[in-house]
Amino acid sequence: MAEFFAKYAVLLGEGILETLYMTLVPTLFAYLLGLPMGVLLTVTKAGGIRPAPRFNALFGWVVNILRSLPFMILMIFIIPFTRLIAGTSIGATAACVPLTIAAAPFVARMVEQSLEEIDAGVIEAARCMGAADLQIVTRVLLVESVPSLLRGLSISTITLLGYTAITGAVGAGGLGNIAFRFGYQRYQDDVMYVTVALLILLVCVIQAIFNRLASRADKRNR
Amino acid sequence: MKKVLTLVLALALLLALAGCGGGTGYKIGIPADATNGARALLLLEAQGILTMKEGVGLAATEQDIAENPYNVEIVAMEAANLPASLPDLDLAVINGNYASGAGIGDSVLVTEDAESVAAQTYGNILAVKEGRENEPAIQALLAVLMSKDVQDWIAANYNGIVMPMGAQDLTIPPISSPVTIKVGASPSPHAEILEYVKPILGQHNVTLDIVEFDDYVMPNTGVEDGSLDANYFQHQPYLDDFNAEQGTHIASVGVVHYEPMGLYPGKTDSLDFVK
Repeated sequence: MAEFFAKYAVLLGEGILETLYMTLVPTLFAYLLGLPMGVLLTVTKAGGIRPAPRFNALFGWVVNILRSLPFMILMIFIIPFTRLIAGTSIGATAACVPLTIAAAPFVARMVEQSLEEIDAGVIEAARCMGAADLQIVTRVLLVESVPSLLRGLSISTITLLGYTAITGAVGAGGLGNIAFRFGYQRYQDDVMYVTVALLILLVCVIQAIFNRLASRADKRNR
Repeated sequence: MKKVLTLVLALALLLALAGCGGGTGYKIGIPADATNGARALLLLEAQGILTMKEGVGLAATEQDIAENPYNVEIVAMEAANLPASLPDLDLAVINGNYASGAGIGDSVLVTEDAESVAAQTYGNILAVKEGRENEPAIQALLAVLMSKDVQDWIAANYNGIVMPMGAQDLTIPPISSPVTIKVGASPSPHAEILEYVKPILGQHNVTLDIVEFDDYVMPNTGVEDGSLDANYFQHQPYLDDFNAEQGTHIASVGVVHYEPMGLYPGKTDSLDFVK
């Protein structure tokens, strides 16, 4: 046991940091991109607050196309763009660029789904009180859907955590990559079990934090 | 609630800043998979760039680096992705086939030599069923494959991706009546090399019947059940695994060629930094 940790503590410690880094930073940027995209998808829908069906269909297609690209291919495909943004195409920082681009359309759909849940009556009421479209978005849609948005955030974060296992292909490290390289490829079962246990722990902690936040934000629980 | 969110954001920012740091030494890319990664590290050791712990051999990982005098940072990544990443690396150790596919084959600085552990271990072998190693036709085939003529032809025709193990002066046993031997081989380079060998072997009364295989099981089962006289497509570790798992009795007659890994230039275009 002590021998195992003497040998792998540094590797695993770095792995945890890299995984957290590659999960949290892209989640942040994916929401900066995906939240407006999701709002746009919702408000331009037929029956939305600013219907624009043709734009909605076109934009929906763009989101679908981005979502259908296998992550590995996307990552290799946008290497020149990654280099432009991050200054390099290798390592954890570089991996954040494709992770963000892969997650943003996913986030857009998660946000769209959360906003869809808002009762049309609430929007109607706001409109009767003279709220402008922008006010409806910022004061009604986004506020009313906070618990659902938070639950969506937990799903997005954990999905990104899953993606980080693949970024080992561009030398980004991370726990998933350690499990694959040392555990699977070199038959070091102990390394694999420990990394998988750490990943389970990370996912549980993330889920628990967001569950708590979501239930505290939910009016029904007050 | 806001406090927690702020905390999460602060943590993300902190991690972002921490990620910006990193090594100041040379960045060297190696393949992330087990054997190629180990071969890459051994090649770097052979160039004096670093030293590995005693006896790790082909199980080496970057965890087994003993001394790192030039403070190089090893970046393990997908083998096929190394050529595209060269602009962000100082150097990279790349398999010949990927380097050639990316059109950078000619820029190679050094490759594994025929004496290296990797070449000796992963050299491609001519194999037959146990007990048939000394049959005259098999010995004739081996002698021609290892002749200077054929070994030079291998060196000249594959742009460094396929390298000869080195010529050996073996005697071709006299064969009085014509015989035909059936040899299973992978299409490239194995079958191509055998095509070159065919007319030479014909002069010694041996007709070579080359059977190409796209998979790696059939040529061995063929040798085992006698439908093939020999095969030429695999390396020794693969054959050992196959024998152990399938209960077959196939043996190597000789190592013909190897497919070397090379060190390719990225941001650094020479090995002059190694004293």
